[in-house]
Amino acid sequence: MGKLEQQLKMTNRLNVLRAEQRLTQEQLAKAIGVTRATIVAIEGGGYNPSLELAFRLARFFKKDISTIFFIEEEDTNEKI
Amino acid sequence: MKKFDAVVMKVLLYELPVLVLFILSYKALPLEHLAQSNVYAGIWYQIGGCYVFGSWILGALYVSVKLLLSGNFRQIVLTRMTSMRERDEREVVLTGQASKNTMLTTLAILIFLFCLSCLQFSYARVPAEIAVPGNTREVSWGLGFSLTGEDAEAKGTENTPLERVIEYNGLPLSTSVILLGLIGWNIFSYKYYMKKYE
Repeated sequence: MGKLEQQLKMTNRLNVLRAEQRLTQEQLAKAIGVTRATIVAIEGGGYNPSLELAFRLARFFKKDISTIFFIEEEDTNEKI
Repeated sequence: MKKFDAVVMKVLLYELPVLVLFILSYKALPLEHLAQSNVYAGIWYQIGGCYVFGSWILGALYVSVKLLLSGNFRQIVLTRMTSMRERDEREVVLTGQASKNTMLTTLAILIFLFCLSCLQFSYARVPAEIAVPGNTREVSWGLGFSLTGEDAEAKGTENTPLERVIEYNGLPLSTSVILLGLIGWNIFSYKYYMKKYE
């Protein structure tokens, strides 16, 4: 489990989608029902949202969840 | 929160500065003597000492019991006191992490304090008249545990002819100070970890 955690890194396109819709972090936070700090943390990669929140964001942007959140594969060849 | 509880909390909060002022004036001046000769000092002594102090103590007793018995009251008062916020899922996660770390550090402190409170150590010079030749000093150490505080108080009063240089019989702090320190530590630690994880 430890190895899998090291190899997977969640990333997202939330700031891109937000910019496309010309929304501030505060506006998005209000629309989703979270605090602005949570949006900041998600965009900065400091917090991975729950599935429920991820689906809420996907529904808000009318996108598939995997187009917003995806795994950034790290090069693990040297480690293995 | 019930209306009565809200009133009691307000009484505790607003009376606190008056109480502090009363205690300071009581310690700084000979208020008890002044109250007999000076009318204003007498009024201040009556209001501060009787009404404010009395109502504050009663209120504090009521709140401490209510905090133990009522989960709803406990949640309202203590979450406000510690500025605990759970507005969304991230804050719930952070609260959990901060609480976990606070609980573990508090447990570590309690174990450390328990060890310190049990430890007994003394270093003494043995008077020449009772000393065995070549052995003029005595070092003793051990562990002590008592169910009530009475044994601990009696520990230091042993009537021995030894001239004690260093003597340690458990924590040299009162129970009130330790408990107040732990309350303060809990709040500080929680806030520190919340800031750290944010």
